Amino acid sequence: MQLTSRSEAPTDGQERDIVQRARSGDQQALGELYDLYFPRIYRYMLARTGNPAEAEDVTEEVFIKVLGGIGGFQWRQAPFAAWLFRIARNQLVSHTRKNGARRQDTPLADSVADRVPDPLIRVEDRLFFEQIMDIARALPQAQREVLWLRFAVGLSVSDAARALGKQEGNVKVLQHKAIARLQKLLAQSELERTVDRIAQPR
Amino acid sequence: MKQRFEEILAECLEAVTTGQRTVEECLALYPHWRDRLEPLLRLGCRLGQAPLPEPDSAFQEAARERFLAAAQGRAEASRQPRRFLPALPVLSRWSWRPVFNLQMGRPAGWRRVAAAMTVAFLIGFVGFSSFVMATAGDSLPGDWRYPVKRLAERTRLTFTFGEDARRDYRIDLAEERLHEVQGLASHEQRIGESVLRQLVETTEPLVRALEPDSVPSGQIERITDLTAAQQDTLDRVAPLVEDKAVDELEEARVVSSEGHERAVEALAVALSQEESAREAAGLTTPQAGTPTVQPGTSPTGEPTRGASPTAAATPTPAQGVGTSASGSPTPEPTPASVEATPVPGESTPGAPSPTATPAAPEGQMTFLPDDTAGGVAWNLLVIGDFSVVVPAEEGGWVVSSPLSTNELGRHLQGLVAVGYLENGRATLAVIVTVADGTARIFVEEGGVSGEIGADQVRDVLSGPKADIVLHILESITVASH
Repeated sequence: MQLTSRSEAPTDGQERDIVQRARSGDQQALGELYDLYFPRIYRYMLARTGNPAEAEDVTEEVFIKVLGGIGGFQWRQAPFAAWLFRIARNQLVSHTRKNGARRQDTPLADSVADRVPDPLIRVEDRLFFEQIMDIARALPQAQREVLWLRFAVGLSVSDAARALGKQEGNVKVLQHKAIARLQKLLAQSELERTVDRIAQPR
Repeated sequence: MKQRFEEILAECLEAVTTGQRTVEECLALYPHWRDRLEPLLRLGCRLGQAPLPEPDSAFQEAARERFLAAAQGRAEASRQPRRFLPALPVLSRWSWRPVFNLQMGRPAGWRRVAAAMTVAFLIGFVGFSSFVMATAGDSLPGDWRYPVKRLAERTRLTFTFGEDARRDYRIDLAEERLHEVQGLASHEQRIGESVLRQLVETTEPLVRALEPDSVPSGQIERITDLTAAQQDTLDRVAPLVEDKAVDELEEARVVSSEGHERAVEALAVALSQEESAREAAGLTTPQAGTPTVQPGTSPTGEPTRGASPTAAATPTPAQGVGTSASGSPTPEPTPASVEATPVPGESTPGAPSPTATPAAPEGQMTFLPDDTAGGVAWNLLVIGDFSVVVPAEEGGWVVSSPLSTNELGRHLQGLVAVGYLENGRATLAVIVTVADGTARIFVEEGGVSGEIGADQVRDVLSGPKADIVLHILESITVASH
């Protein structure tokens, strides 16, 4: 499996077929669902916790929850991704309450960058990514969550809305605010780097 | 109907990221929004192309094996009857035989028979009553013992005193209603309107009364758990809900979902308050119990305006001071004064405490509606005795100052910087020192790369940029005492 591919999501029809088989306990289908969604749930958890080890733990817990609930999953209620991310969100709340947030010893950007496969990434993209990770921490949680579900996980606006239990309109507003604020913070950051470079106090 | 900007942005982002349209095609569709849309759309597209972090492959593989093993275990367990409720008594376990195990067929006098029947009746009645009382607690809606259970609950609630204790018991009752839904599902019984309505009726008041100041965090945690479990359960039992109860199911989902959101928020606030209280108790504060408020922050954590500029420090007429951004000629509705103010209220519960970052200096940024120098909008920036006008942050202009602590954990020390960015790169920077008002100009344009003097501005920079830089320089004021 190409781990960094953004086209890893199957078509709607393929996914329906996999989910249908998984609901009836088909081990191969469960494995396929796991392969499809584990990295996406992990990225979401990483964005929320900032701690790779904790993100891995909670992601594993989510999939155990999925086993308990997939039998009752209904397509007419919500797409599978939205259903899954709602479980993920609830599990994260529950996990954080029970275990407390683990201390993050390394900056988020560093810990995350370690998990980005090197050979596939241009230096420029890596720097941009690290900068985004750092700056995104300044966004309000609701904006950050929408940003990650939309761009790191790849959910559509409507799926993100279902996953977050929000109206689509709210998600669009949050997305707009998040990108606009990110743009402003990126610009400020660039200006400050320029100032650092050229005009340190005389 | 007029489309809102966020809808246009969402539509374009979806179209571009799914390959249906290019950025240029989207911009051509909305020419009036082009200037505002383009930078956000390009940033959004770039975000969508950012490299993605991956879980450790060894961990993922090991977790996959555990996942599939758990699936296998569940599949095997499902071949046996499932039980959601622990120790739900079933009639088959209860032997009726002792009550009727009288040797009725043996010929005896009628008195003996009557006495035996009376004893049997009494034994039966006492046993039956005890059985009902003992087992009604596990009964489910539709069960003949269920009304007894509800009566017992109401009686207990009536005799529960104290706000906390009553709330605690109300949470117990809401949990019980959820267990009943699970119990019906485990017996594959249909779930009707009244069951779902009771779920809503017990949950809604709990959520409505959720206030971090008045509800202990332990109870908020329970409500958080409850509403999360409700969402999960309602998803699972949806196929068993009667057709006529679809509206009740939807209502229950909304109540659970919104309740959960509210509970999570309340929990975050409550935990944060507890954390602050612990920190305050652990620190050597001048006065125990007195809340510490950072400059520019209200006791509730909301940003507040800093000191108002004095007349002496204001280089331009006071006409613009205090004017709202609604008069801004630009479509961006965000007033600079808000953007430039630190936003402590936006930090997450886990974020470093405000005491970890330097306190923002007193100051204020105010929109100047009548100032249109260089064809851009302007703001007046005042920090103590220092003031300068700076362009609004649009069309490539960006401002950073000691007021704009940008949550990155670093900000300019005593400098105001105005920059012009092209393709994300600063090609012009004006840096002003707050302490003495001295300014330096750096350019990377027109074959010049480095610092220039004020007298070279017109020679090096194009018309509007030169106007803007000179307007900044001319406005610098430092009040002398």
